[in-house]
Amino acid sequence: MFRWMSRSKNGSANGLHVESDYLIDLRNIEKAYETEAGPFLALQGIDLQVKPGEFVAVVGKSGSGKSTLINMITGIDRPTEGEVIVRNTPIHTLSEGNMAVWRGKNMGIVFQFFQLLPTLTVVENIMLPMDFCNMYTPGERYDRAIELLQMVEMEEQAHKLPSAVSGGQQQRAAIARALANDPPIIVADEPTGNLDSYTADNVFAMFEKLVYEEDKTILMVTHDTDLANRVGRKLTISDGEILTDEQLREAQPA
Amino acid sequence: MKFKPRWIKVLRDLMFNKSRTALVVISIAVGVTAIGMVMGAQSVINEDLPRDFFAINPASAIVFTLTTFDDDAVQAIRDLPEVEEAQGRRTIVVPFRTPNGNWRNMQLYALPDFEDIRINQLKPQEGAWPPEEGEILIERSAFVPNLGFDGIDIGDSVTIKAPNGKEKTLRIVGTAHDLNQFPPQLAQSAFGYISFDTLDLLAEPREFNQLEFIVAENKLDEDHVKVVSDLVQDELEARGVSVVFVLAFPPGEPPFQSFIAGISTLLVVMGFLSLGLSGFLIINTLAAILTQQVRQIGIMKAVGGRTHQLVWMYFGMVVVFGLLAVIIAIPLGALGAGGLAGILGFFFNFDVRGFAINPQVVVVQVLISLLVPLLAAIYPIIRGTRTTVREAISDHSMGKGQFGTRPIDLFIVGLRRVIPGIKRPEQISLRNTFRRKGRLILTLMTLSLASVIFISILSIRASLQQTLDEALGYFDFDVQIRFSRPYRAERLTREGLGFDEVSEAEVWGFGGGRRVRPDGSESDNIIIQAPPADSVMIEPVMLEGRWIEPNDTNAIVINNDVLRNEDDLTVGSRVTLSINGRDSDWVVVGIARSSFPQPAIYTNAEYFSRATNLVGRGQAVLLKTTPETDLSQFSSIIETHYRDRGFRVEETQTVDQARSILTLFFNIPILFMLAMAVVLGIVGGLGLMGTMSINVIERLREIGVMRAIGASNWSVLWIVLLEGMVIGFLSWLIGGVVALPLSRVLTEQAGQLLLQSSPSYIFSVPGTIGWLVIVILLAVVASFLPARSASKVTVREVLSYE
Ligand SMILES: Nc1ncnc2c1ncn2[C@@H]1O[C@H](COP(=O)(O)OP(=O)(O)OP(=O)(O)O)[C@@H](O)[C@H]1O
Ligand SMILES: [Mg+2]
Repeated sequence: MFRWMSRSKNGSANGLHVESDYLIDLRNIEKAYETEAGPFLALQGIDLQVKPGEFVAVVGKSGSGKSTLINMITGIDRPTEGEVIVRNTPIHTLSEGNMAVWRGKNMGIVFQFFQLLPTLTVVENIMLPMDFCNMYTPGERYDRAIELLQMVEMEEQAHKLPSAVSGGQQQRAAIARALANDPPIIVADEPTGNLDSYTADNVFAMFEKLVYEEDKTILMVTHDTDLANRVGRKLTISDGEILTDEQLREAQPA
Repeated sequence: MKFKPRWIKVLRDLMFNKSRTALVVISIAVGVTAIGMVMGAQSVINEDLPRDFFAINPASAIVFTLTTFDDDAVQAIRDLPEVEEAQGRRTIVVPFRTPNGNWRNMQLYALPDFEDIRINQLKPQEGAWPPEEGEILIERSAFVPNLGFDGIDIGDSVTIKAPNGKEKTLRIVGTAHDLNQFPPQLAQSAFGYISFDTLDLLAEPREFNQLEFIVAENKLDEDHVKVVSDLVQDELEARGVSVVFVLAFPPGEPPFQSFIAGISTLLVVMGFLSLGLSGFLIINTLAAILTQQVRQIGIMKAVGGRTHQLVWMYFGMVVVFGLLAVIIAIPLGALGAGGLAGILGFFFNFDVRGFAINPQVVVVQVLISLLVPLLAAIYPIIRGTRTTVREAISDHSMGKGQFGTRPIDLFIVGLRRVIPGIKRPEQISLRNTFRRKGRLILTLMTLSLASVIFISILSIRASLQQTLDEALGYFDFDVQIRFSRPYRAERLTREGLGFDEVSEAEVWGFGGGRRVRPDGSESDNIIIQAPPADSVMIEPVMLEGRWIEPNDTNAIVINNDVLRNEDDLTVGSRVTLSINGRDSDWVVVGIARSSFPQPAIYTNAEYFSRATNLVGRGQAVLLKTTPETDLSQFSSIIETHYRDRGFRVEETQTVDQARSILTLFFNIPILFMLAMAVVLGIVGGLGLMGTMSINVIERLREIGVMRAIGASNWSVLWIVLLEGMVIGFLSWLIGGVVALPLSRVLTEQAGQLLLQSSPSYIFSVPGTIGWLVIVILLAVVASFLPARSASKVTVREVLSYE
């Protein structure tokens, strides 16, 4: 029912290529932060493989390292040790600039707060990633943005500034923006964290639709145990380690 | 065409933050306007003044004579192969009665034929031309109320006192423009033009006492003009004409060209300084904008924006700032240039015509309003856009204005113990001041620079005034009357002492001579003053050697301006002077400090009168008056008295007059510099305003917290205002410390430029204190808006912020 205009090319932007059987392949990740009390290990020896079409929830106590882990996958942060291979690209080796390009095309990111640029309308916010990554022709971008907004049921708000729409609506717009360049992977850090349970449910439904109807692969950090139990796979993090890795449902075949 | 979203963001950011945009735009516009104004004025001056000047067919030199000469003499000069054209005039100084009954002096020029003025042409302005018998034309810029023509119109009559003492009434039939004259506004004296028939009416002979000529070849060669001047002078002297001096002008240059050029150089320097300050403002504001946008930068990067794309976005924003600024700055600069040129035209009596927006100036303005902001933006933009996504979205490592880590912070905290009674809000202000150190430094640089310049300019002014007072101080007389020929000294003093107001009178010899150098060449004419050796009217400041003593014979004292061209002279040098065409030998016994920037030789009156065959006679009388005398009134009374007794008065001057003329002369550049200092002050104030509003925006959260715990409107307002004042005070302090040595250097430069000599130096303490008051006021004004918006912050707003 959605007419995706073009699938993004394989993401190995600069010829770097590492064979992996997985879409996301974290090998023996360690992350140390320098603190005044000496190095602090936020992640220790993480191995994680994700196949296409999986819907993964990451749960754990505050400070357990969820965001740190997620940031490894998006390339927002780099591991101190280990390898991060996403779509056969060792992203931990990319330069900051190449990383931005790669991320723009391969990964949609949804944060908890402060998602949209305050001086752009909702639809302009959604066009921004296409603009930056030079995806689609300038003429196509607007139509595509409107279609994405229709998908998240936000077309009515397309021409409003972010300050004029509700938090849940902003979050849905952010999801639409994450899809702008049609990335295969969506990563969300507490996307429902500051939404009421009804709205959170709504946003979550959106994610389910993406996984089950659009073949996206999603990693989502959440504190909401109800939601966490509705996904395909639940990772529990504690003190920088994966405590449990539960398969709740079968992944959709890619 | 539709804009890409990223450019829409740039434009919206500009529109949604109107006051911030306005602040940056104004900051740039101030500097660019200053440049446009100065360059525009310069181009007007460089075109209009020379054009007007060359249109009058300017003389190469003017010979002033003591005795008169006739057409034959003029023709003889004209016939010299080295001379292209020559022409005679007669000039006399006459008093005229102003509408309020006072007498003022007017320099009268009598021309033989107004339809055939060949050199230093007079241009008709309003009214009739030429003046018939009994009629007079007045120089146009002298025909103003402040020079004695209040309420007088063309067609009215003016009463003058002829050299023979008789009052005559002349009808003012029109005005004329005499660009060759010392500008009346500067001379503070009037010029009038009459025909030779009118000269008859005044019982004056139809003869000349001034000869103007133009050399035939090498018109722009100063040395050649001098050589020809000597020939002309020799020719006149051979015909029995006594030459006082020859005035040669820098060839090919309008009068005051170098003076005006000096002013405009100063202005250009000021223009660039304000541009530099604009640069600092831009750096500051952009750094703040980027700090505020850290999260947005992070989001843009997270959705695929690359650093270089963001860099271009922000540079694009800067370009828009520059374009907006130049839109304001072009018309404002042109307007200012017109005004500036107009002021100069008024003072220097030339027409500012055909003023329009100058394309060259516009090109420069556009270039600098784009380039300067872009240059200023490089650092903040590169730094701001380097933020990584992680830095932008995490609360770790934000480092927003940390306080408490540097030694200076501990010092500030420690101040609490030193300054007793300092209260909590004041402590907060002090600490806030030092939180964003980079921003503080830039703001301080801007304001301090304004301080330095302001204090320096006032010091220059005070120093020049001081120099002038010193110079005039060693003229210990009140009125000096010079005559156009020598009279018996005893008669001159007797007439003067006949007045109760006169306590002492002295007669001085007066003349001109040229030095004959060992290689046979001759110097310019140098004024010779011959006071009695025991004169009580002069207290020279000796730089070397001694002053004239009673039994001195051929001893001379030279002033330091003589040394400018005759640098081989020292105490003990033997000098040959050519006086009235006769050579005589003299010995330098001392070097005195110049009073006016003009070479002068002093010698014993007694010996001088013998050497010039004028024993017992003198050409100037100097009078000391009793303290309660009203000098301006008395000087015209006594001048009239001498005239009535048949003395031919050439010029009467009071020391006050001399002071006010000279003061006016250097007050013009000072005025311009002060105007620029005000501009710099405004730029500095804008900078402070920017800094304060950024600080307030950045601290909204903590202001909200302060409110939540009960801070009143007033205490929030006061905390911000005080922070502004602390910055103002610091800039004053820094500015003062820098100005202390710098103003000395600048004073020296200004002295060389305006007085051609080293001035005395004083540091202007009143100026420094005055600037403190100004800068604190400025700080209050600049911080007020940000402070008020801070005091309006509600707790709720802060919580919803971001
Ligand atoms: N830049 C940093 N410097 C030092 N320590 C850090 C830094 N970033 C994170 N940490 C630490 O690493 C640990 C993991 O942080 P992380 O943000 O991943 O936790 P989290 O599981 O996402 O918690 P929350 O649920 O509160 O978001 C925490 O103890 C945190 O204090
Ligand atoms: Mg987290």
